[in-house]
Amino acid sequence: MYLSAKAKLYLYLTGTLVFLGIALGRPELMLISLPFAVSLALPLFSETTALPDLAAEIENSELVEGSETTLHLTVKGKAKIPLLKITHELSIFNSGTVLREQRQLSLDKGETRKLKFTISTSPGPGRYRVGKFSLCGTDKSGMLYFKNFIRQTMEISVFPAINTLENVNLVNQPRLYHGYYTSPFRGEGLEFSEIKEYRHGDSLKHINWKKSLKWGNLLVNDRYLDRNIDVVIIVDSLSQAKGPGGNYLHIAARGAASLAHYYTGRNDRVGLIDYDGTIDPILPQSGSAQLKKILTRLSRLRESQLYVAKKAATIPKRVLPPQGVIYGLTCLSDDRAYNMFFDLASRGFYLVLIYISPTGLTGNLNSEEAETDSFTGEIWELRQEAKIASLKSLGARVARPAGDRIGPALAEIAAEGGSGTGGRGGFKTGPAKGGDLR
Amino acid sequence: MSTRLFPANAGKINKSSLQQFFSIALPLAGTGAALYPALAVSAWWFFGAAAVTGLLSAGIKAKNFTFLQAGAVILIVIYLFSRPALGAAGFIYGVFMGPGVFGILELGYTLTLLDEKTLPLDTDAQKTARALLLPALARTLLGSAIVIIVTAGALSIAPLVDEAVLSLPVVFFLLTIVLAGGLYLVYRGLVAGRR
Repeated sequence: MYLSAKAKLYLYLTGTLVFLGIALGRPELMLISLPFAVSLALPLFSETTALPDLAAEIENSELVEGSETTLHLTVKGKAKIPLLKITHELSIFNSGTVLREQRQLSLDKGETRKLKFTISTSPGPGRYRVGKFSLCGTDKSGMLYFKNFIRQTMEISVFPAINTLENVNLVNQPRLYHGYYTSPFRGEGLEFSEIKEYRHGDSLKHINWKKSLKWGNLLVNDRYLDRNIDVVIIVDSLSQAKGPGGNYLHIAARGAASLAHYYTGRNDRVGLIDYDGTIDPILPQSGSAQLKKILTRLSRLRESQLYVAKKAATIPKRVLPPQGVIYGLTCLSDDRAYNMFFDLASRGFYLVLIYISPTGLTGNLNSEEAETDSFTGEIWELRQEAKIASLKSLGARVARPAGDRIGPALAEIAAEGGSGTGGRGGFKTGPAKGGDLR
Repeated sequence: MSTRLFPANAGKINKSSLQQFFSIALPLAGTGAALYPALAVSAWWFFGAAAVTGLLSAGIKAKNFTFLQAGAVILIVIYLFSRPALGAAGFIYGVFMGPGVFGILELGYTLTLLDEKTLPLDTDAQKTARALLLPALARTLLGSAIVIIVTAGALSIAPLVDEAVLSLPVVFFLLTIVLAGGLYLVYRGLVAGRR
């Protein structure tokens, strides 16, 4: 039990007034101090206070950003508490944000109350820890109070919101017979792709004898691979940028979730690398279980505080499937991420970079800051553009989403057509017929 | 939720009506207490009254007890400085000042604790009001009664004792201790009897 602010005030007032009353010989000062002096004895008459029993229960432990759930709290009084303040603390693991919600009630001995706390996911995707309660109760006189913490910690995974992607078919075409889409890669398969000239290494059994005789040189039938595409999404979490325009990691998580949802919906295999200086990949798999695995990992996305792994620039070969497509979501603020993407592009991977500009997120600076920082800002922007240009020169395709949705930016570069490079293993930018990737 | 001072369901304690009533009544009580000698004695009380009213009203609005503490201290300090000018009326004013300031602080403290936005149900407003405001009112009345009893006791004893040996403040002090001790003993006796 602690002395309340009121008790302390009464104590000081009584002491001061009694002292002044005696020192100045003024009986009325003693009179003013009387009620305060008597009040100080009130805690002696108070009943002993016991903490109530709490039981918390959460409706859902997995949510998608934008929805909300309810935390049900059952409070059972062990003693009469005239005023009980229950503060629920919600902490978001990824960002360190703490949100508090308070309830006040008067509790009788043996009384059971059910309270509801609404858990909103408006702060964004993340790991939400709920169930930490702070109790503060006063005694009947208001002179004493008690406080205590009760932890019944539960965790809620808030998955990033998924936006529908349309017209972002960068790498393959709808197929006629098998499934929705063909693989963009040539290889052993059933579905015919094109007739091409025989080259060293082509199988003799694929020679089209009829056409070869007609045209006078050896021609072979080329086919599409009988498998779908492998996609690896790399999220650069080495840096963070947030402001009125949004939160980089949240936008990256939403973008990655949308891509994963899009490709798993097409039965493609999708993997994820949260690039935070270490490489702990989710290897490409297809199906809804894989999508959930990816969403769970994305909900745990947080800014890396790892500064020791300065040379984790090379993503090992075993993590990246041959002829895979790599989507990189980055703000290119950290040179380690830039070096890693540079390495991937120079190794011939088909790389689509989704560049989320930090300046678009932090918003406009106020006029004074803008003046002093404009020069530095311009140099920084030039450096960013230089990085993007060097990645582009290696064949990476760069999408620049204007806001939260990456779909329009991807559709834009899909519309631009086949400017991609030939990837490792003979990857071409599109099927022979049509000649582009749309 | 009604925001009127006296809503349609007047008679029932409603969280909004209670809050609004006391948020107006307490500053008014403070102003009244401060204005009484102003009319009689000094223009300085007008400034004091304005400061106290402002502090009480800001304290209740901001749910911050510090403002109320400051208001109470200012009221007492102004009284101390004006006491010589008040003359004989100053003593009577002092008798009422104790319970007045005490009542304002009691109710004010309760109101700073209560936050109607965090009450889960409207019935909680009635329940917490019963559990907190009514005892606060009871304590104010008890404080006033004790002041009156002690004053009456001291004034009746004062002529009987030699002021060189026991001055009036000391008589008040001793009487307070005797009264508090007596009340506590009665209480313990009652509690022991109940057990």
